[in-house]
Amino acid sequence: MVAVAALERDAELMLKVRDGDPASFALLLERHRAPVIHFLFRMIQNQAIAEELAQEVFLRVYRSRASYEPTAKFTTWLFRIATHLALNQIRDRRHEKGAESLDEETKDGMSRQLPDRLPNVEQSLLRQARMQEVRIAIEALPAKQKAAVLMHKYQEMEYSQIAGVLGCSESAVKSLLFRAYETLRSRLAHMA
Amino acid sequence: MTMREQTMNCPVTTGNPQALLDYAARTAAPEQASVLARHMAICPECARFAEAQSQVWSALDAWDAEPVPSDFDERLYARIDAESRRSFWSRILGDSFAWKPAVSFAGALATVAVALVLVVPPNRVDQPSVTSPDTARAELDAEQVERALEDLEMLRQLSAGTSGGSSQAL
Repeated sequence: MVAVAALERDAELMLKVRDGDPASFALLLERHRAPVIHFLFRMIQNQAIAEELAQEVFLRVYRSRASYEPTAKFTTWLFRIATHLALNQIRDRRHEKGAESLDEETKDGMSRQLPDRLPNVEQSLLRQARMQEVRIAIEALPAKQKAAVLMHKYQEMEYSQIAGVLGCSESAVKSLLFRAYETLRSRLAHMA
Repeated sequence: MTMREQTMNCPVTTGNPQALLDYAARTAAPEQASVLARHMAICPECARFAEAQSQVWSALDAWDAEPVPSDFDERLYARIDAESRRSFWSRILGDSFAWKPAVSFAGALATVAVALVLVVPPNRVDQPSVTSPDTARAELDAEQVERALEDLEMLRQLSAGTSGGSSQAL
């Protein structure tokens, strides 16, 4: 019921944006800014690029306002744009680099990632190490599996919505997720 | 639970292992979750699977995302504003079309044209000019008129010289 209400609310806001109401765009931005940036950050594992791509996502939403029709859930459309940009970025980066090493990327992300909230250094280092292992394990997944896991785990999307974002069937999403979690289970088993 | 029921409820046997993912993610419907819990009590394989998946799920919780930067909206609105102020043609041609090379190219063409006009005379004698019969006739007529005017001028000077000479003589 909450999901239906949210769907109606987002679509309603987007229709108002289409009719030239800038305040509705601000509300949509407020509601979805953080999830989109976080999703892109976890996909790309580079905060600056993730922010840049998130800007592009909302810019594309704004550009498309005139032709917007609420045929699909707003967040499905939003994350489809975000996933498309992220997959392109990953593909381009793979082509560009022989590879900027994963350690370097991790180092960059880690230094930004960890607010020093934990009471002691040992706990902080342990947490940092665990997070780094998670990051490396997710980074190593094929791009589509990665996107599916991030939407499933962190955006709490249903299979049908992930299928809508990735443009595949629900059973294909289940299969993607099953394979991805199987890999993660084997890679992160030692963390138990 | 009988062996038959155990097999019927086993997600692996029934080809629905995703049910265990839902169970570990706590997204399974309550009824399904209780069926799975009863099944796992007698199926060590599924119990191990669900336990391992729960651990992965917990491990992923460790990955916090960075806070959203405070100037995100400001930068976005600046881009939207800049885009709305872009000229009609740049919107039509898109970002891939660069004006600077086009302007440079046009400037270079203009320079060459001016240079040609200054360096090369309009009617070079060493180059055969292609003229139409009408143009040739017009040129011929002009020459005849010039010649006639010269003749008239000569006669005028001659007659003037004659009369001047006569007055001087007087």
